Amino acid sequence: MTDPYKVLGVSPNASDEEVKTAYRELAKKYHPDRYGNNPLSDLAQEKMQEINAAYDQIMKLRRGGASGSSGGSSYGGSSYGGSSQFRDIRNMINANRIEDADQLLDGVPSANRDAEWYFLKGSVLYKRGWLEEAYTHFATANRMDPNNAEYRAALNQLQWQRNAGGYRANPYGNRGGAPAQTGCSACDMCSGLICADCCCECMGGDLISCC
Amino acid sequence: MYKGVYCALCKCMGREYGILSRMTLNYDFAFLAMLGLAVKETCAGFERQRCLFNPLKKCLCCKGGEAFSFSAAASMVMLYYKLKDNVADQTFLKSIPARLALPYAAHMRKKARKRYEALDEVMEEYIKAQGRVEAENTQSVDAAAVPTARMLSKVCAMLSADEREKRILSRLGYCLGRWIYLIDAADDMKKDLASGNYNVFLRRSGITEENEISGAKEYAEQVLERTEVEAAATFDLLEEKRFGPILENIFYEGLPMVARRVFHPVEKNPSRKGRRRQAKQEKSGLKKTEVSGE
Repeated sequence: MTDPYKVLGVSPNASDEEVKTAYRELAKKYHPDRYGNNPLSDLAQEKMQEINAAYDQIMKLRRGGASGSSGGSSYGGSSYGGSSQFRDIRNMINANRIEDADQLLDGVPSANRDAEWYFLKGSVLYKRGWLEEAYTHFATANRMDPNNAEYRAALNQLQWQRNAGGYRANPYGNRGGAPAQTGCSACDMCSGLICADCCCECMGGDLISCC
Repeated sequence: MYKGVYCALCKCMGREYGILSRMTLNYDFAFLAMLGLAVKETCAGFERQRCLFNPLKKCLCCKGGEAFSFSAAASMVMLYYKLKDNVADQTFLKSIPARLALPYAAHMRKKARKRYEALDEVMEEYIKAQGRVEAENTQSVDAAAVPTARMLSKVCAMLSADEREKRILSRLGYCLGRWIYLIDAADDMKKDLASGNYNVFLRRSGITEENEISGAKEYAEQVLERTEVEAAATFDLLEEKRFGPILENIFYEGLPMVARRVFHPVEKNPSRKGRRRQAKQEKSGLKKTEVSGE
């Protein structure tokens, strides 16, 4: 079995708190919210299980074998369910049978195209990598049924997840508005210098001798 | 480290395709080689070697490997199709350099095809699909980006033999190709408006005046952001065996940074030369983050 500490990326001497933090970070990284309709969601799920198992194992070892289950194990995969007029299509999408699902969806007469239809069509488009049209379809589904959590999650996934508390916040702060910096930051200058150094080196010279 | 990869690719190209091919080296293919190395089981490591172009200094160079041969072949095949495209598109006078280089490139492509036949097929298909999309004059951002996205998707998938990795690399390549196509289109909006060339963002919004561009740019920025999110999420699934921090830096900071430079250029030096330099920097923005991520 793989070393649970390695899975979480911490040393065996790490404190409980450190282990917990590492676990939380990874759980956020592979959270179903990020990979909901993704064609690779099964891989994210595998990762999640691995992390959960590693965390449980470490906690068990540290508590002297007491069978304490982690609170985090509740992170599971997303599952489509409930009553749906498109159950077959949902199953196909879950099984990554995108072409079949798409064909059936296109066959639905426009009068019967409800919010769920737009959500499913969006899922097909998303899996195919047509992100923009997927986005439009998810937005339509949300407009038609604003209270549906599944549709909202799909839409959020395609945005920067600012509101949903996404993994690894953008280091440059608010991306939506105008850029805060108009001048030349220290970072720009450094990278500029390094770039100039590379150019010099191409020509045989050197600007920064250490690199 | 990134320079070491770059260095090694340069040497590999010199060895396999002659000295002239080394002049065509660029960072995109160094990135491809790096991605290839990241998923390889073993890495030969780095060593200090002398460089032909800078013989006084010994630099850190990644020791050879399959990933370099592959990237070198990809760059040769790409070069050939690019030149061919130039010859077909430009006026006779303008295409003279391309015409002169074409026989050389054709020879190199032949050599590359011998080793990696699939690469050549993918490229050929890509050029054809790209032509079709432009002929259709499509309004769909997604459809316009598909040829480039598919091409890189297939090329990246070739980097690994493992089924799980292939799936991830394929999606990752798709996102990257899509991003590259769209950032180029966004960057060229002004130029294409003047020349009347096909540009999906202009076509989509039906823009005819230069002062209308800002609206289309805003939209393009959002499209690219969404593509970046997807690329980063896909990258996180990859269990890279080395270069993790550098690659992560490229996906989380490099791509958004290049996009920022395209959409919010810093107007500081209004002279012609300054503008040109700035445009150059924009294009090389990606490699800067990579270098600083060492």
